[in-house]
Amino acid sequence: MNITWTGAALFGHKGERRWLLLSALVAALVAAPVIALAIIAAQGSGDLWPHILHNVFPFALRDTMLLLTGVGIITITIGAGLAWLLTAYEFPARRVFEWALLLPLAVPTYIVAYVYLDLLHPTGPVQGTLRAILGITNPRDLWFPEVRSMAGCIFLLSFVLYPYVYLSTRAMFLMQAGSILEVARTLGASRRRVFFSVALPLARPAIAVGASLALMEALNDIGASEFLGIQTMSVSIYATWVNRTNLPGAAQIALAMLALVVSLILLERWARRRQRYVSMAQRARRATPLKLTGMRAALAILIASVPVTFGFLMPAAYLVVEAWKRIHQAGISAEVWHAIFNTMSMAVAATLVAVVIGFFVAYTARLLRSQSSDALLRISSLGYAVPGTVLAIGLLTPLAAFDNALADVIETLFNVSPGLIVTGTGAALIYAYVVRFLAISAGGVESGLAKLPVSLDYASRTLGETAGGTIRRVHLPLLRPAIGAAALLIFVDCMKELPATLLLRPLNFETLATQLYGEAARGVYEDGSVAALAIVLFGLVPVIVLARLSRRPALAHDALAQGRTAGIEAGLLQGEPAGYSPPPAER
Amino acid sequence: MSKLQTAGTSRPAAAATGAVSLQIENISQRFGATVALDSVSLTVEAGETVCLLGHSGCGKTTMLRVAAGIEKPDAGTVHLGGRMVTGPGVFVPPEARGIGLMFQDYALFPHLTISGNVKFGLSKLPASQAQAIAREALERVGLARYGDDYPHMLSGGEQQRVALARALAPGPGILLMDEPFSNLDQRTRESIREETMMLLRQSSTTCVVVTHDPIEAMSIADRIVLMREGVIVQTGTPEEIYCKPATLFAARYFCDLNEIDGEASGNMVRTPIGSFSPAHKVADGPCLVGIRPQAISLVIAGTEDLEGTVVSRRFLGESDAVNIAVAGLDNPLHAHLPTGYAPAPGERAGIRIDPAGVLAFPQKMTT
Repeated sequence: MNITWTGAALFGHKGERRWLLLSALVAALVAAPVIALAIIAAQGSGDLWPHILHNVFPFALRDTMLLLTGVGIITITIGAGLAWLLTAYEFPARRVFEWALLLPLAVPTYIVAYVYLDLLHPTGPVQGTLRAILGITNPRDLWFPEVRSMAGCIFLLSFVLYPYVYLSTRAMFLMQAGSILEVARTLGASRRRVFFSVALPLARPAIAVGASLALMEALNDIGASEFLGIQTMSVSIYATWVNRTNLPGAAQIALAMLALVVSLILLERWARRRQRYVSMAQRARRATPLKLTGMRAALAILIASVPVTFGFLMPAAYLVVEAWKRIHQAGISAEVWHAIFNTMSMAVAATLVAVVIGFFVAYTARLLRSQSSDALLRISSLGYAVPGTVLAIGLLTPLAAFDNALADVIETLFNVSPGLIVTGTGAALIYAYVVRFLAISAGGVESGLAKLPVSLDYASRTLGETAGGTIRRVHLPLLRPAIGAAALLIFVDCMKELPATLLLRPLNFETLATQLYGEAARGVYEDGSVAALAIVLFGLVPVIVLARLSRRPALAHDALAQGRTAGIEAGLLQGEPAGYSPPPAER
Repeated sequence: MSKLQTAGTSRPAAAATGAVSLQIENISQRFGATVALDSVSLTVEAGETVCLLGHSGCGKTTMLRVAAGIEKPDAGTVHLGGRMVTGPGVFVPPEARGIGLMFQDYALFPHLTISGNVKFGLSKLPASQAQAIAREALERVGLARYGDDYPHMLSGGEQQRVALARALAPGPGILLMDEPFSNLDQRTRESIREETMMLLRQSSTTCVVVTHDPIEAMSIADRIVLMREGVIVQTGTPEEIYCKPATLFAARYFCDLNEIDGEASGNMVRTPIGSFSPAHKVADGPCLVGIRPQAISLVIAGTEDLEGTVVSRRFLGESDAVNIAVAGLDNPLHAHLPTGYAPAPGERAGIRIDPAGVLAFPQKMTT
């Protein structure tokens, strides 16, 4: 008999209320930027609004929708197609591709754009080689597709975002009962028909999860679209604030973008409304793959190589070469060292805070098992769905107000001017990182806790250990892997973060990402390659962990998706948390 | 934590504290719309072994949780050894109640060794003393040599014994067990059950065991508490509750009865297959008569109460399960007969029914 025990009794009403209050505080801090956004937007942007409404908004919306549609179609095609290729067929080097296909995850969207802009430039290596082969001397005589275009942007983003779909879909294919696929074959369906009429429909929930993660990233992107000249909403928000200093206008676009996020979440939930049914087949045995030989094997290898090559090998090779050239010529500049130091310190601080708070919020939900504690956990995980620029715009005003108030108080009390304590020190940046990535730690701890039978808690308590002692002696040791994985993901995500960093960093404060952005925006290619290489190298660490886990598909899917989908799920408060059993009822 | 709770944290130290009694009074607990416990009262004497028996969802586990302090009931009081631990304004947390709790899944800490698990509840003692007690506890269950192993390396039966050793090591005055044997396979279950109960009797601990298995309950309990839908149906020794079930539900729980409609008048009940004097009296009027399968025996021709035709016969090793069609009944009677005596299907059988195995209940109780 598995029983969901209520934890309330273990704390008494006072303790319970204290945990709940602290959780509510966390949720409030996470929700604050969104609320602030609504307030700022409501103030109206005065004279500039007609301009934004006519000249900015429609184009931003159109470009964003085009980008999302394109990225959605291509990531699903590549991701789901490869997942099927690697589970239904056996061919040489398949096991290598299993993990190699994840590598593009290490390359942020703005870096892939940065790289290909240079690679595909009319005077760059690709076109130069082509001209040399064709014997053309004038760059204008060679027709070459323009990378600074919507199509270019869609393809480049898709080549680094497809792994989200690949990973979740592959996990689903591996978890699908082999018997279901085999029974379809015995009923006379061809492999092709099995894919389209059985495997794919059954994998739809997984595809939806993966695609929505990819689209969230695309929506969040600011660097790639900016470099490639696409006026997405993210770019427009940034421009409206930075170039026109029109905060209400930026806030209005940001609110519209938030609406887009919500519809994305709704779409995702709608697409996986039958997941319960699908997840019935859990202890499944993988269907026997078909062995490919000769030309067909070569074709399979070729197909699997394309995304890895474009999404990882080429950009990585380019960055290694360029960075080496740069270091060879000029060494590692003081700016790069500074940027590395800044990036590390911000990421470490934000990771620590996010892990502690995430643990706390998830733990409260487990202990209290009440609707309110669950709702607070959902709200706390909301930040992941909020694009970086939107979050930053939402944080600017309340933080500046807080800073001013704090400065006033300190000045009256001590007669010294402290300056901007939050926005001037990077505290604002840490706040933004924590809000944005709290879902990873809260989700990680939540799913880790969900795997621990509650009877462990009660065994500990009846053996004389207190609530705090139980955390220390039972939960923390058992959750170490989950917390470690979450910390790693958060750290790397903070390192790579660009949109919020651009808007919230203190003056003259450069991280690796903003340094790269600055150079690319100015059109100079100096230290950018070194910064980009550093980001990609760090980004590889969690990908390697993920790749190792992906031998056990359910785990890898957990690690990637649970932190992140927790954020997505959070969007809809009525949703049941992943891995939870229904409220207590004796069975 | 509230004052009341901290006041209670002076948990008795590890050494045996002697068995304590448990008194549960008017406990009610609901989960949303479902009533798990409806004003239930129960007293367990010190040293007694009581089984809470019932189907899933009858409230037996909730009762155990309330006693352990894991569940805070909506109403009612709990006393342990005369000390109020749950009641108006009083709630002693589980760690301060001096109880042992054993789970169906054993709940061994996967990150601790076997000896680490057993020592978990002894953390307030000096290390050497804790080590000695843990060793002794493991020796008692015959697992001392596994002290440095981890739980997953042990078999189910061994894990069960570790859980027992861990629960007993701090010397609880009362041990609460939630389906402690149901995760064991049929073969080992009985021997482990006997070993466990022997150990518990040696340590003279008060013991409350939740189970759904009537055979298990009868084999370990001094007293059985039969529960249904959040209330206690009947309490009694195994013999009382088996032989004199208060309700049809209780009778059915322990025995697969042949149920026949009847008419009671005076000491007798009339049925289509004859009149019986049931084990206990029932009010005059329509009634339901239950005949135990083992109350039916074969007799030589001429001395039978009743004649029927064997419909089917299955060999079960220790007995034969035989279905016998009898004139006047829609369904055949099923009987458990000694192996090798029953006639083959199609043959006639003369049977007699032992009145001690005939029970009668008022018709309205047939739900």
